[in-house]
Amino acid sequence: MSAVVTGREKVRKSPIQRLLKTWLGFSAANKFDDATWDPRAAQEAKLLELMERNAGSDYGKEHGFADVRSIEDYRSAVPQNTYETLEPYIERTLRAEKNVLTADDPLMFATTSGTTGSAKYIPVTPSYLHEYSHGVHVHTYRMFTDFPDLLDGKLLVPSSNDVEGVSEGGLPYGAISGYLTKTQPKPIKRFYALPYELCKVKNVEAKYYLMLRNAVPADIRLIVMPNPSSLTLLAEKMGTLSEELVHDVRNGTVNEAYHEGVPDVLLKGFSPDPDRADELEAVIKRSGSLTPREIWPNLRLLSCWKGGTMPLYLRKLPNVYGDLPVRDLGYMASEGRGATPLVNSGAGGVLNVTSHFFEFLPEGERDDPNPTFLTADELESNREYFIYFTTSAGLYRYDINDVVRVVDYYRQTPVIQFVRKGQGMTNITGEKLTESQVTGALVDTVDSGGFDVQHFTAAVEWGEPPRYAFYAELGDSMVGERIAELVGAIDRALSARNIEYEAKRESQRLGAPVLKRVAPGTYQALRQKRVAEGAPEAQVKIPQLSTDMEFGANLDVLEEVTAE
Amino acid sequence: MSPATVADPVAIEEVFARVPLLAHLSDRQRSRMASLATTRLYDEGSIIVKQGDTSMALYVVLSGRATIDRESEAGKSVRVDEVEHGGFFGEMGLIEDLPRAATVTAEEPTECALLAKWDFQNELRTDPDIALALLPVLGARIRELDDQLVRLHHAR
Repeated sequence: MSAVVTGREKVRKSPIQRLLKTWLGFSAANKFDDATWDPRAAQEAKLLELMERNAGSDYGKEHGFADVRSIEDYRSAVPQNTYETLEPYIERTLRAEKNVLTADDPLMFATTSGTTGSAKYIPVTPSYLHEYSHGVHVHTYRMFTDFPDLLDGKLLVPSSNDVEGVSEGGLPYGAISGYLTKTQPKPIKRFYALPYELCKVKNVEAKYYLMLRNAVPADIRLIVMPNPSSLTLLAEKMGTLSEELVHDVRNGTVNEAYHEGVPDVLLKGFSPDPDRADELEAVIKRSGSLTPREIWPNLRLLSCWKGGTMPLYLRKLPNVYGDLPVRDLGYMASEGRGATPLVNSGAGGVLNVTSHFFEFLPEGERDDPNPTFLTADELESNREYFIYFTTSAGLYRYDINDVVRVVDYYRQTPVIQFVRKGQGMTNITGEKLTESQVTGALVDTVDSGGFDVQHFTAAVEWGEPPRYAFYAELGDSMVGERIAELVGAIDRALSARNIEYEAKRESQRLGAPVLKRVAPGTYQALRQKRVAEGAPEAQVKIPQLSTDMEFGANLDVLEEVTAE
Repeated sequence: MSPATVADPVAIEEVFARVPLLAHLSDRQRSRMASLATTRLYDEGSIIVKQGDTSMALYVVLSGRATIDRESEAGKSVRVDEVEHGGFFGEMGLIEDLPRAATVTAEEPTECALLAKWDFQNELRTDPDIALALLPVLGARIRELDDQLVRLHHAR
């Protein structure tokens, strides 16, 4: 492959690079590394630190944190929690009441979609931010160690908006990634290709164009995007917007088509760069359009999620990025960072034993009245577990509804991989759609529009982009336009009930849903099949949200209508 | 179950000497590697590692017996090896960064010594003589692959 030389954008090696790596090593990576020899001790120390710090909080006093001396004491004192059980405390925190769940006050709230439809708000306290960043630092340190010249160029790491709104108590809520980008020290910012303000751009087309406008002139060495489909989309947009990008690089401008609603700071400060424009133009002449591998010949590594439902999209990355190594981004959510990958192979990461306190429940024991909770040192190879977080965000024994599997060990610490969300939930792009949300949306739609829907199941349908298929048995009155109205109304109702679904639909990461009308009697046949397989008749329930990827495989579909 | 066990560095050093990648190391270097290993006991029927998963360590069997199966792209599983005391798997994972190439299952209670890739490579960074000792092993591996290619070519 011929490649453009992009030496002009190169960041000169400087003491700050060495200092940064040394700091990452001492501040996080070394501590984490030492702890992996004895995860039990590290976890007990972490738990007791959390108990001591938060003993004076309302939740800590109610549950006797001051008397907790061991993991066993903790389990006796504190029940398992879900967002719903902690919500009354979080509501008070949102109103700026102090000392409710944690001793330190939140800086912001991280938002994520909740199981009952409304958003979940995770209090991001300074100590929680420290725990969260700890995992980021370990990840970064290991990448810099394995790819020593990453800091000789720039890092392409888009973040999400940290201020989506303001709580009743006056604190912002949004994404932690945006907050971390905003608060980066100035000497660190120079290694990143994208300005913080980019996270404020809502329009997807404008966001990708501006991302490329900032990154195309640079010597990009690492790209970090959670979803592998976003990496593919970035390359696609680079290809289709090649001419506009070269024009803007040459003239130091930003195409006016992308100005609307964009902060001024993102439209200014570009200098004309005819040399780089010539290099890019040569790529277009040679290959027909810009491609990441040709314009960024020093690109060393990609990092994105590789577990759960991601493998389908991972398979497409080599078409665009060739044989570049891809490292998992780590098992993480707004609620905490569970694991940090230390190698590129597979989707596993080492449990973050110095970030939070973790408990595990064998996958089959979730409904057991006396479940056996395990600690990190007690896990078995290749077994699946529900994972419970205790963090400085005030989440205590918190059921995040995730299933993880132990795939290897790093010294004495398990290497875990995200497998799937727990029961009754689908999650293609981060929308975490629950059956109760689907049922609620369906009922709203039928009530408001008078649609005749007899049976209904939403299921994931892979594609580019992925989407939901709504399998439905409909009454005779449901013909023509009425079916189109129905699928559009359910789509809107789901958006209203799930903020992440709405965001993913707006950003086109989730395609428009399709309604698939199945033949009359289909659901009765499904019930009969389950009974024939041994299920008690009274307990047979065909779900309204199916996690079975093959749900619609053998159904007799009469017609299909896609939402507009 | 797959609990951690108490490591015996002498026993580990002895089995490490049978691993080609470690066989050419000096006693001091191998002893150092053995001191970095952890040990773990797997019940009969336990999957020790699974094909396609993240590969973090070299495994050397201290006791017991395990089978190594590889699944083809068509989904057919083929038994490729069986390992007992002194047997090993994941050797090339110390150098390469590729997922597990096969699934390994304990056929009886099996104790393994695990050497993390990171610890192995750290030793390499601090003691470049280790890298020199590895060169003949890697050279032999390349020749072996060349021979296999030639045999395959002639078999066609």
